[in-house]
Amino acid sequence: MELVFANLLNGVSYASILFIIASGLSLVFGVMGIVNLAHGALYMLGAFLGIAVAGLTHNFFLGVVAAVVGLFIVGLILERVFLGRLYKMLDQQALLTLGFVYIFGNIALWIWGPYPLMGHVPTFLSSKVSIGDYAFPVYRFALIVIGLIIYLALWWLQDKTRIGSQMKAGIDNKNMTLAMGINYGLIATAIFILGAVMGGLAGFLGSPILGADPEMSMPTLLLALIVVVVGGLGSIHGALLGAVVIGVINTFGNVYFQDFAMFTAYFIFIVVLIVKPTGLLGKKKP
Amino acid sequence: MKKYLILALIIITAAGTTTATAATGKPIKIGTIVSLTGESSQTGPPQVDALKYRLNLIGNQILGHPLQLVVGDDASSPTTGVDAAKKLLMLDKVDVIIGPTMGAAAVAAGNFMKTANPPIPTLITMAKSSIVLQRSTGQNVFLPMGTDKSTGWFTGLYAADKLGYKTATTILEDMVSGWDKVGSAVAAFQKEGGKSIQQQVVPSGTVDFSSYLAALKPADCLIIWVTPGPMARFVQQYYDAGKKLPLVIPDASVLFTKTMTQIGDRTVGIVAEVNYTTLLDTPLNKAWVDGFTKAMGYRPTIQGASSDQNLLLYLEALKITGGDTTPAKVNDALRRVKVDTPAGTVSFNSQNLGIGDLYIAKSVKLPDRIDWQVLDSYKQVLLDAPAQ
Repeated sequence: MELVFANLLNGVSYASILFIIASGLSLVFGVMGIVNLAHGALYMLGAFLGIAVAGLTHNFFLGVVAAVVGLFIVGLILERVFLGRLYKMLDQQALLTLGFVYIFGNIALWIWGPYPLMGHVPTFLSSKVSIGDYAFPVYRFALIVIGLIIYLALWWLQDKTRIGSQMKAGIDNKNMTLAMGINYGLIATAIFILGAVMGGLAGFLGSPILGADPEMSMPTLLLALIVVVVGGLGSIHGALLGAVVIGVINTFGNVYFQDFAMFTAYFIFIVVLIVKPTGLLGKKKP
Repeated sequence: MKKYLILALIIITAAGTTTATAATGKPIKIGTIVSLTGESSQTGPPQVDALKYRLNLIGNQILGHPLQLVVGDDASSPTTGVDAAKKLLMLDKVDVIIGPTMGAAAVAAGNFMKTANPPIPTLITMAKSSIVLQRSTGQNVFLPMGTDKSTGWFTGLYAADKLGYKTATTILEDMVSGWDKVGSAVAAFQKEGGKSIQQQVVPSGTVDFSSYLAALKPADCLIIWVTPGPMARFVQQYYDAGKKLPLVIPDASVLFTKTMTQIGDRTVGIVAEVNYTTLLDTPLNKAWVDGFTKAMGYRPTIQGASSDQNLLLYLEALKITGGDTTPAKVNDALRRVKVDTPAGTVSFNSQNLGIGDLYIAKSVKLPDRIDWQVLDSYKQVLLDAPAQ
């Protein structure tokens, strides 16, 4: 029973990291229709930037600031200089962002070198809670709380604010939105930056567990894509549900179906695609 | 003043001429396949530097033949590894191939080279899966650092015999190297009376080890082998979860000095098998480490030492052939050489498998880093596990 409970917590905390990664991807794809294949690379950049600054200053929060500010700037440049010119051009978006995966990977290799680095848990979150023989790190509890806060904030932004309404109006009919005097370009840029910041923040917050290395972009992107597809594209609620489903089932699969652990996430992915191609909470576009 | 300048010019020219006349024979091309890009890209550059450093030490020539280094990148991929081997063989027409290092690339390129024409000597870097040898059809592929099974076997022996562990729980990454290393470690451990009470197999590239850590059974030690990225994550998550079983790794090359240093003091005390460490206390190694560090600005790596060892073996074989690079002659000579290298003394058995020195080390804290210090050694052993 203790093992089940410990694994449930492990699964939920892992799901929390998955949610923070996937929420940015889901937001950008769902709201703006941009296929950002560089999302995993943004995650990696956030992890490296945060680890570097936190390591230099010995301050975890400055690491958070570095990841957020750094990815704000990267997101701004990506959207304004490149992707802003490629709306509704899915092939070009995919190729361009795929190119950035390699560019960012090599920049990381150049600056931080090829060795895997690990982030450090802040001292005040470094204690553990005993669950039988297993000591559950408090930092994992913190990740669950942070994930929930981010979920609520994004839900509030998307569903309860004027900007959220304008965002959704833009998706439905961009020209009509513009004709009504709404600065959709500004909103689109802000959403893309928010997605990039979420990716970077996930990278740094996850770094004490998942670390950082220049080759992590594609595996991270794959994981985020699975979560987003399982949960439903463009839905924050879907991203959360997808992350919990993948995180928890993956964690239990590692213990109880070890021979199939490599396929657990893909199995769920395939089943959802067959049964409900729009994802668990996704809606068919009219 | 002008007179001195002219004199200096004459001396410099004369020195240059002397070097040039010393190496006027047919150039010998040293090909190397390393990972400069991809997931194992941390291993490649120090290997190239190790080869450059050794070549510079001997004036880039041997027996009057200039030595030229040709570098190929396997991009940490088996298919690119084979492409790199093909290019070196057919286009660059190298006389020897040193590498690859990355496991899958080494297996693929190694097997390609066995049927290569001409059958130029291929000296694989680092210990490798024994399937490189099992599929053998040729006599030109060499494993100087032996097989993955050897690293596991001697680790298991040491854990039972010297550390006195009676029970072990194991974690391995689901790939040939994982099964070879941990499987052999367990076989040796059990042969010496130890008992393996649990085996957990993790998928390749695992990011979250928490479920495996929660399921870990109490034992005297944990024998683990996963690749470098997952190893960094595992070590951190292991200590974060308050686990205290002594860690035993049947191959230290997956846990980099830089990674241990960055994770911190918690990584002190891990026991691992190493084929080489900069802290190896021999005059030959000390001189090499000092010289390399001065020339390159950083300490040599395990992978670099393996490349250096392979180059020394090839150069020694060339001395036997009198500089003749005919593959059959060099391959035969390689089976007769015995060379002292910074990583220890090495030779080959009739199946091209290394006979050398293997070390058991412990991670220790130094003023500037955490590094592997030798605890014990197995000298001049066949670098493979005995047939089970």
